Amino acid sequence: MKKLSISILLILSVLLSGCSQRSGIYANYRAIELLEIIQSLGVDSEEDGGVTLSASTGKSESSSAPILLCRHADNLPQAIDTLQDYAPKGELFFAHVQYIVMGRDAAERGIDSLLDFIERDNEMRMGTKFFILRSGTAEALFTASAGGDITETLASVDRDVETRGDSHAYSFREVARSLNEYGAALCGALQAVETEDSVFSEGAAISVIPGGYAILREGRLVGFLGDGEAKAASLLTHRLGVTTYTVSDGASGEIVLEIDDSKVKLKPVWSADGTPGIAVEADVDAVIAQAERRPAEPMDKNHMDFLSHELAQQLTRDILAVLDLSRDLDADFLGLGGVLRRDDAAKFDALGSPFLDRVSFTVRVEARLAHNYDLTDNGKGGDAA
Amino acid sequence: MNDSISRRQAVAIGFVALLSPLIRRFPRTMAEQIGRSAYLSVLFAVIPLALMFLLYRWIFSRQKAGTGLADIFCLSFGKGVGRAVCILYALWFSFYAGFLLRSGADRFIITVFHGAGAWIFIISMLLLCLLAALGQVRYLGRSAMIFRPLMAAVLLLITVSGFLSIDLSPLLPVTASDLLPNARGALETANVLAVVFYLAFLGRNIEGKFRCRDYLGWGICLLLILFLITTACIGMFGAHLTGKLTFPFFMLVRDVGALGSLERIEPMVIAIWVFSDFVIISLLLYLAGWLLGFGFGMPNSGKPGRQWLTAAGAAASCVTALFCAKSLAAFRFLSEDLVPLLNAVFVFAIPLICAVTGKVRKKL
Repeated sequence: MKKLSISILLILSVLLSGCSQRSGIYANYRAIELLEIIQSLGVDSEEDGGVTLSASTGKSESSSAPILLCRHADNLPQAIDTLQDYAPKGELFFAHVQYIVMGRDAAERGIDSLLDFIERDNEMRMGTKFFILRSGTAEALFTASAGGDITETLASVDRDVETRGDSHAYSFREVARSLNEYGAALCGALQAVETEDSVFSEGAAISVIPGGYAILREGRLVGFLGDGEAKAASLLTHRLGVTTYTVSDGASGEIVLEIDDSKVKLKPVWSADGTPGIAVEADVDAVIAQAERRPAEPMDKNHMDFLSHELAQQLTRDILAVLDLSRDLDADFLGLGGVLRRDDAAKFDALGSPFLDRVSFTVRVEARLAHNYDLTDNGKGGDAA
Repeated sequence: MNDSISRRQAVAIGFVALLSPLIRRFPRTMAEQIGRSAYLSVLFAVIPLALMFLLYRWIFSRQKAGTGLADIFCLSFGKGVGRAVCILYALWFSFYAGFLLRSGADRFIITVFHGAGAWIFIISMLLLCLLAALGQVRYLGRSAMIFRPLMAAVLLLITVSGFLSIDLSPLLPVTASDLLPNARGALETANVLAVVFYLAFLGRNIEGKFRCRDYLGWGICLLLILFLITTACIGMFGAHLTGKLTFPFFMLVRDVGALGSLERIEPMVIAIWVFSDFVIISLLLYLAGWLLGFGFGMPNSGKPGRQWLTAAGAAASCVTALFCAKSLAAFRFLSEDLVPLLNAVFVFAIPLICAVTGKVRKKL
């Protein structure tokens, strides 16, 4: 009896293991050597309401070029089926998609259907990084990058923005959470560029560089933050890394300052009549990265204070520009509602919606020049002589 | 042959068995009903659980070792009514086992095997569990002792790694208006966790006297894990999305990886839940067969008659699993309304009535 029981248990265990292709539960059976592992997807919308899906595999171990496929269909699941029909070798496998890039037009139409697909699909992950193109289509980017590997390019952008903090590769989870919580979200933006005049080794004709942030409101693209504003948004979301700012040196030249540390606090402020406000308090540490003209004398404290003040002024302008844009677009992509709600939920709920047009902003930035490296123009004449 | 388990094995059965009903309800339902502060309901659940603990402790306080809940029903209600109540419990356990079979199959279909039929999961799991239920309860105890450290380690690793990357903003603020929904959530949490009190029917099989305090350490561990799961999911997805996803915990597992070399471990984690399904369904089928035997006046386990009754209970479970919910709406009604209500009746209301009756009749 015991042997019989063990035999039955073993047979039943095999039934649950997925080691057959005959019936329904074995739909997930896949031979690994036949899989084409998709690593990047591009999504574009069409005038007829359909989508164009571009898919790229990574480079294989033999360093052969990635497989690139593009097809148009009525919706995403159909586009995936159609791509499979055109797959040259094995089965397309979407469980390891790392990046999804969406064309500008598609993002303006809305990302809800894409989010919905990712939330429902049993292969896709919410942790997949999501970018929106500032201009053009993902299809153009994918097809023009046929000589290279779009996934490697996107991974490179991801690493760069992580270090500098002038943008951020948000995941679908972060975007969805922010849209649900605040009705708006930030998303990494990409700028497509021609590589003809910049990259002289063999590779793709078009590449992408970081393009700041895309702003989503109620699931649709409503604007972008570029350069200084993008850095300010990173500062406000605690993501600013090691990045540079150029300020006037007080005479005729410019000095490049490198921010290497930053802290920011968003403090809720309520006036007596219940009007909300946000006080931004930022502290940044910077060093001199490059001076247009070497100073004749070692920099004195006054000069250092002047440069710090210039940096603080520039950051203040950028931060205010971002906050004003948030108010103008009525898009709480910085989660300011959360800051106010966490402080006083009753007062915040009493504000109703929209609330941003009633919020006043004050910004105080304290910049410190930690080091000037003291490289003077010694021995070359001039005033110092 | 002596079919008894140690108290440690009983605790292991309780721990492993609870994970199956827990993952069906947590953290989705709580996030959907309560919102951002749903994690508090896990902490508040300590209060109703402590009250239930006191109730069961009082019921068993004056009983000698080897006394089970079925004996206490007969003592308190009288032999006839007590046996009828036991048959009622047997029917409930058969139904509940069937529902858990269906819910386990749906978990597989939703998370991994899209489009597959439920029957193959139901039939194969039922046969596995029936084999265990026809045997002795000590085999179940030994299995649970093996499964428990594995499941606890996997759960802790995943929840802690998820916990490290949460954002605090979706979890706050907590206001006074969150208290009432969390109080309701605490009752629901306690209701799910109270399944462990069904082990009180195993009094005859547990060495020594049935002691609720034996379950305290692992109970706290389970509450901690539940708190971490709920907090991690809401912190990562936000309350709205957590309430929308069918299995947010498994969605969280999808993104758990290490150094790019270990990814997509969710099929393994989902497969581990088979152990929990196996233990709880086998336990329920065993209890259903034993209680039917007790109710019909053949209480000695191991008799062929008891095995036939267990098989009959399993057949009823099979029918329930295959036909209990033809649509998603019907399944949600079962999962979120009917089963919790019946569970509350059987795990709390009837033992309470039993305690009151026993006190009035001076039998307890």
